[in-house]
Amino acid sequence: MEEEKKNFGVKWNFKAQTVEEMLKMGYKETKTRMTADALQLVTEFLKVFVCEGAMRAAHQAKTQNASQVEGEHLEKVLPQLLLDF
Amino acid sequence: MRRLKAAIHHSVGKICEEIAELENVQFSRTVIAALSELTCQQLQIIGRDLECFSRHAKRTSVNCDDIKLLARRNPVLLQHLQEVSEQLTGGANPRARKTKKKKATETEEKEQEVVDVE
Repeated sequence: MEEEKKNFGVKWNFKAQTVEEMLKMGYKETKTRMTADALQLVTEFLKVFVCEGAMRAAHQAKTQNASQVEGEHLEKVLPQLLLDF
Repeated sequence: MRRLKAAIHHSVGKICEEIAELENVQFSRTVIAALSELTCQQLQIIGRDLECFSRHAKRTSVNCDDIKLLARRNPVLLQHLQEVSEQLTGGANPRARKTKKKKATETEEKEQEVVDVE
């Protein structure tokens, strides 16, 4: 696990509305609602997920002496990433 | 659906830009596309899970606790989310304790009543 504080220096975050709409696609019942705090927390969750994925892919690329992160690097870190989230 | 995916793709792109600056690497377009597609899939799975969690707790709305339950297998992430939720709620936690205490006193009273009847 690589969750480090420096991940959270990233300022950009997802728009709450987008996240909510996307979450609703997964619902089976349309009645389900969300509190505002919960939505904020999901966006944070998602941000950490993306940061972590990008960071691990970048590290993988570095260990392979590549300056650009390619699909193969992401593929290599993907299984562990999905297990961690 | 398409616009949503585009919006997520945009956000993922921005995050990747920031990380590229931090780590001094470049991200190819396929990586960003894959990451955003992954995010979309993950969001739908998360949505289904959260719905199930809230239903299990006999609620109709998703709570902060449901999201903490979602992150239960990753202790570091769980702690981080807990900190964020505390920031969000501020001093709301003491109230939750109070309601619990109230319930406890109510049950005690009921028990006393039962004893009196006997």
